Amino acid sequence: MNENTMPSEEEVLLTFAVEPTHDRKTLERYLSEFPEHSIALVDCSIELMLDSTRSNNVVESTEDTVEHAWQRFQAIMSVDDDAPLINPFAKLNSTAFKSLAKRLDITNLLLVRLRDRAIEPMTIPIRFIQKLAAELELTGDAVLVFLNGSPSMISNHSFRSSVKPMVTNQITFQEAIETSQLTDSQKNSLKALED
Amino acid sequence: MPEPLKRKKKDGTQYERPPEIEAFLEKLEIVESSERLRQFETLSKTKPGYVPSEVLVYFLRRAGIEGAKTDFEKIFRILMKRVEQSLCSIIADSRIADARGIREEIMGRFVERIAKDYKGSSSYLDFFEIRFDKAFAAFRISALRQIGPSNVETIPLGTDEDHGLEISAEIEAAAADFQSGNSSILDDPAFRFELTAAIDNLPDDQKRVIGLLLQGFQIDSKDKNIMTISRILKCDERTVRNRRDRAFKTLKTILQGENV
Repeated sequence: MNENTMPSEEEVLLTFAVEPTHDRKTLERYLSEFPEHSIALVDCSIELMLDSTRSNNVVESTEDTVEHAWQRFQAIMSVDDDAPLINPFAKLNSTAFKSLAKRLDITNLLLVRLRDRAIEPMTIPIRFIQKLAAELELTGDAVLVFLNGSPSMISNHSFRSSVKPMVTNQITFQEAIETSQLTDSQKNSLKALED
Repeated sequence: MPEPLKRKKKDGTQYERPPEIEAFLEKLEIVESSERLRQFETLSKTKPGYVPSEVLVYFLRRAGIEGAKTDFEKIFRILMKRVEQSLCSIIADSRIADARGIREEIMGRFVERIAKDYKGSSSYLDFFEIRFDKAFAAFRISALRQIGPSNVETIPLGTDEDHGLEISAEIEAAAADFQSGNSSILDDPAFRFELTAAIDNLPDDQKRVIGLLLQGFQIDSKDKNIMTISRILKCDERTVRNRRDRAFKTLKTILQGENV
């Protein structure tokens, strides 16, 4: 952990996870040191305790998931880190992110998919983009540029896969609505924006 | 000699890998790359020749640094297979709505961490060279909290909204025995597995209470210096007891089934 900055929740949990023991005293020490992450630490301690007694059955993996992970890696590697990138979500911390989802009346999962540009931008209703832009205090065009920015064709050939490079899988807004754990009422509100 | 880790602890000392991982690295460093990759292929931890994921992370990073792209891709794919396997067993389709979407989201985030490490801007993966499974469990918890725990609804084995519960003396006794760790049934792997599955399926508020009880925390205390469940979860001790009782009621089937 960097002593000069407040560690993130993820960093605190990882530091806790690699401790040699996870007894009550270890958890107490972390709870005292990071009271702001107490629930996350409790959840993590329980997960580590249960993990040791879970079965280790081998689950059949699907090649397409692994392939998708590899393509995502390639896509990230193809991004030029020096190029200026305006990501309207970058300024949001975890709380602000959740709060934005709440204001938009959508689940965090749907907002994550929008942030990660996992949804085909052409299928997103313009009225929803305008609503999102208003909440982000940006113009609709700026949000649209971001949503269109990626995932893109893999242009960096430093990592050659055995398969042809392709656009990272995106889903339609309609599919995203159906698979983002929205309530029926939320789904209907979003569908209404498509009209 | 394996490269030491870069990440430092809060006290300024460097993190170190466990001796058994170091031993694995030393053994595999002198092996031909093709043979190493062959050994990495074993997926099941119970099979002889299984190489721990910590070792895979080390050689993945090394392949990245050395520009060994083919090796990098192969190790990456094997590691992702293991990650997917781990996620499938915990975020199972039968238990969680849109489990696949959640698994893909977590995997995607992990890929981002690998890419960041590859670009040389992070010592993040050091955690995964120390205790991969535990670090990944922590990573998963953190990711699930961001996606939104309220949205990751487990499908309970059985729900009971009844608040006026009557917990039988038998169950109380069995639970007390269970909490103290004295019960011989806890030595039975089949029982432990069933119990773990049952606890896993409890609602979060009840799971936290049971989890903390199992770790030896007490519900409440007049001594303000004692860290109690009530203080950790910032709720009244009656609320804690209520959650405990509701959890016990759910767990009683399994406790009674084992003739405790």
